[in-house]
Amino acid sequence: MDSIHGLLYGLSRAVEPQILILAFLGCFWGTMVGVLPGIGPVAGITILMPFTFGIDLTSAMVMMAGIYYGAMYGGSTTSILVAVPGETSSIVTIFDGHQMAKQGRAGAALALSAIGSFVAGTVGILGLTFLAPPLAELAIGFGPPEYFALALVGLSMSSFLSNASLAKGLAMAVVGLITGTVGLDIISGAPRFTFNSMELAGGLEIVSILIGLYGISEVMEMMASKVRPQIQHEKLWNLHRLLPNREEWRLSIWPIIRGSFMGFFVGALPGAGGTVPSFISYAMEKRISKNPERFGKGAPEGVAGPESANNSGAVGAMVVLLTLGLPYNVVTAVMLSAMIAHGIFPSPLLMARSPDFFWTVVASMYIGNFMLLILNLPLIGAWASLLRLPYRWMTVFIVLFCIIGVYSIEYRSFDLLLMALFGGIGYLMKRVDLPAAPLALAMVLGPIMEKSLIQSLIMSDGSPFIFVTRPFAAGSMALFFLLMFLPLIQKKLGRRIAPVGEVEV
Amino acid sequence: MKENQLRVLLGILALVFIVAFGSQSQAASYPARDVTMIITWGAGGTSDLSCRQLADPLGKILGKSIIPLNVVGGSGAIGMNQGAHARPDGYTLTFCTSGPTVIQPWMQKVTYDPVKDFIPVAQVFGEYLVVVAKADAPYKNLKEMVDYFKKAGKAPKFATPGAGSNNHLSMVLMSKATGLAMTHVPFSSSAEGVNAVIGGNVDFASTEPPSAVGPYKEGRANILAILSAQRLDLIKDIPTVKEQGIDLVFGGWNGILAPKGTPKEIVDKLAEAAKKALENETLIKNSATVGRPIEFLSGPEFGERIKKELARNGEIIKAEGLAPK
Amino acid sequence: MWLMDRISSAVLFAFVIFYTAAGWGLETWAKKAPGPGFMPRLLALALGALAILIWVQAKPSLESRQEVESYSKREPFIIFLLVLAYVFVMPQLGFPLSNFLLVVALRRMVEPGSWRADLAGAIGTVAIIHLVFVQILALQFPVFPVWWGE
Repeated sequence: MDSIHGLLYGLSRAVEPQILILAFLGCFWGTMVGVLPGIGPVAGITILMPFTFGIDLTSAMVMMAGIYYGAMYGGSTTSILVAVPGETSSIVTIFDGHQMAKQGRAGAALALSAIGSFVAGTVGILGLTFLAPPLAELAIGFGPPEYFALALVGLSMSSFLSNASLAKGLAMAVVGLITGTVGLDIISGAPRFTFNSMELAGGLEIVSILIGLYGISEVMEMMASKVRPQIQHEKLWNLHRLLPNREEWRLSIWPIIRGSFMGFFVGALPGAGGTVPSFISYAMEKRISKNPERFGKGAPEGVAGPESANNSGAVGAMVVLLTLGLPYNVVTAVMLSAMIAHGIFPSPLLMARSPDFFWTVVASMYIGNFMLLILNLPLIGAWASLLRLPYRWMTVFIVLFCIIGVYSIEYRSFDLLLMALFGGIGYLMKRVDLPAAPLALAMVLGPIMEKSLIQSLIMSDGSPFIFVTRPFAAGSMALFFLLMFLPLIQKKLGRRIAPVGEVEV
Repeated sequence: MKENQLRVLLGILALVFIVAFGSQSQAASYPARDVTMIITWGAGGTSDLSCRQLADPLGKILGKSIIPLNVVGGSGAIGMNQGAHARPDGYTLTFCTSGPTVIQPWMQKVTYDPVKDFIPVAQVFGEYLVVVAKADAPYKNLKEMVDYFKKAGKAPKFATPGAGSNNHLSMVLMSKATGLAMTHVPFSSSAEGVNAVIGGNVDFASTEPPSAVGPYKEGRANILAILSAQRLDLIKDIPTVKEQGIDLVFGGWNGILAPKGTPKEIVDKLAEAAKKALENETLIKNSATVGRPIEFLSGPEFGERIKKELARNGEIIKAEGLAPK
Repeated sequence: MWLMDRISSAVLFAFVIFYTAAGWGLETWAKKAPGPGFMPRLLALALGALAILIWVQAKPSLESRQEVESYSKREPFIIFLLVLAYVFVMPQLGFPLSNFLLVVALRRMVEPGSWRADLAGAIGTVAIIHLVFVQILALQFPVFPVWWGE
């Protein structure tokens, strides 16, 4: 069944009442789940599991895709409003999104995020529709050397993420990599830095750390400044003020477009998902911008780009799920097992073998994308009004919010402990101007990088040449060196394409 | 004085009776509420799926719901630990797989004793592993592969879902049985291993059937052999390792464990319910789809198996030096 | 930010020493491929070098002393302690009770108002949270204090 027919068929099925309702429920629930920090996967699954056996596979998939998707939309809300990341893919939104909120532009930030997500989602779904099989064939050849090289490229972005000195940024990235070494070594099974604690043996949960690093430290920061800044209240009844103004739109259009396309392809790389594209988009926008010093102070591009990238990245990750069977997070893992339980196996030939299933899911994603936009836009006013809460309630809610979110990941107090500790650490970092962004990125990429490195060397019997003999890996390595040392080279040459911030060696 | 003493004595007797009847009725009324079943693996994995497939009919027979709880980490050790230290009232059970139960205690320092801290309720499923290779590899079954590499004098590289996993151990045993040296490349999941094989990054992989069936049916991968005693329904035309002349049978299993100290009546009730649940037709069909056939062993038999395999694995792991320092 | 930079450099360096010591027993190289100790050693080296770099780069601060002084040290620290206390107290006291205490403590700290308003607000918040998260969403929070038993 060729693509157009397939799409039409899928659309015809996707508008069946049952499917529509499930899609809506999924989107709604996903948004709620995404808004609550950390809570996402576990709560989502607990509710889902009974369904996946009771109803037919397609309906179940539609609902799960809605949840997956909705969580992407919802995660940015808390990032913007209270600087607490809903998911790893929403971290970047905090940088400029929260600043915008502080300047009274929360509505604009939320709107840019929603619209960017919608556009990106559409681009991503189109990509899924037409490009899935060729992408999958390409991705199959991907092995550890490619993963390693890509992880390095991702890490090299950390030098672009903040305005602090290169040394500080790299130092934080290394710290992030270090947090990834705690736990059982994937390759040898040896316990590392576990000090005989079963809980440490499980590794340090990234989301707990992030919520502490960003959320709790933000509360502490709020308390620290003796002058309580009055967040400029938005005039809620004045729609004009609530939505992005012309200048903000102008600045955001290209980032949205760039983010959408880049996000999809990066997300389609096995293991990337929605998080890495958002970081790349931020770094990219900052690099290309004529006024990069605006980033970190409320630049709309810093919200629009990453938010688009993470949505199309999420769709790209669906490609990987459906064609290669590699889940990116818990929700996709459940989708995978539901598929297998019903005898539908992920493969590049999925489109041809199970067209009914594939096209209905894809079509419902289009519809879900639309539904989410409609769901989220009106809510902007409601969300923005939350910022008017008196300070004493804000701190209470944020702290409770973080606690509930973190605890519901695995129901362990250890995660709460991590959150508290990194809250303190995050606050101190703010005081001494050590950037948190490189740390976050490194925490996400670290494990993949080390694992792939060792796997590659096992594969090559210890020879490092494996990285240069394989074309894709070699190219990525070259890119890595370029990105890492570009600022230095520029300085040496006395020319700069765009100022990136202090660069000292 | 005497009267008081009598009263106290009666009071104590009464208390004793109440407690005695109380625990009787506790066992008799079991389960009075929903039961939690700890799964030591992540949601969406095959073990998770199998447990949930079982939970449905089992819950119906017991009259209450079985609520699965994923406690992930340490290759299953963290969940096992939680299950070992749960309250022995029958309301927290552990759905165990062979890895964390009889392999991990040798691979890492665990805070549970698989024999002493648990009471085996029943074994429910069998887990069998397959060996997968690329479709256009120069060997079509296990024997051919072994011959191919022996002649070339090279050690093939194989993928598994992790160091110390069932898969890893089974390949070590196979290496010994065939006399062929192999290099282990650990990954994080079976699917990754299968993709690595198809992509030509490793020579073969040891995985569970569900990850391999898809590519196999599409002709992108070849299943070289299955490590069970007889052929699996799901992939009827795949010969077993034994059939190909190599003396090796390796099977994993899934079972239900209760914490030590759980009253015998409750354990027996559970075992009986499990046995009946395994006769459920939907369950039989579902478990076949994921390549885990129903294999029931009663509590005591299950316990014996655990003890035996634990000892056997200890020997192998020590002899091969598999345990990380 | 001169002093700050020196402090962070020193802290990072101390951490490097701790990290290296903790990972002492790990093998750096095992059978033709890096062992579990490879990455940690590499990272420790890198971080140590970067810490020294930060030390060397510390410049006299452009920020006036006044700005630094304007940051209150007491309150963030109290919040940190409160959250930390919560972590240890919650498993013992159960979720609703701990939340209640936390809300009251936070409110008193942030902007002390009337006791009655604080208590009422705390009860209300706890009730809503219990309703939404524990009952409706069925998240598994420990409701009863440990010694209550079930």
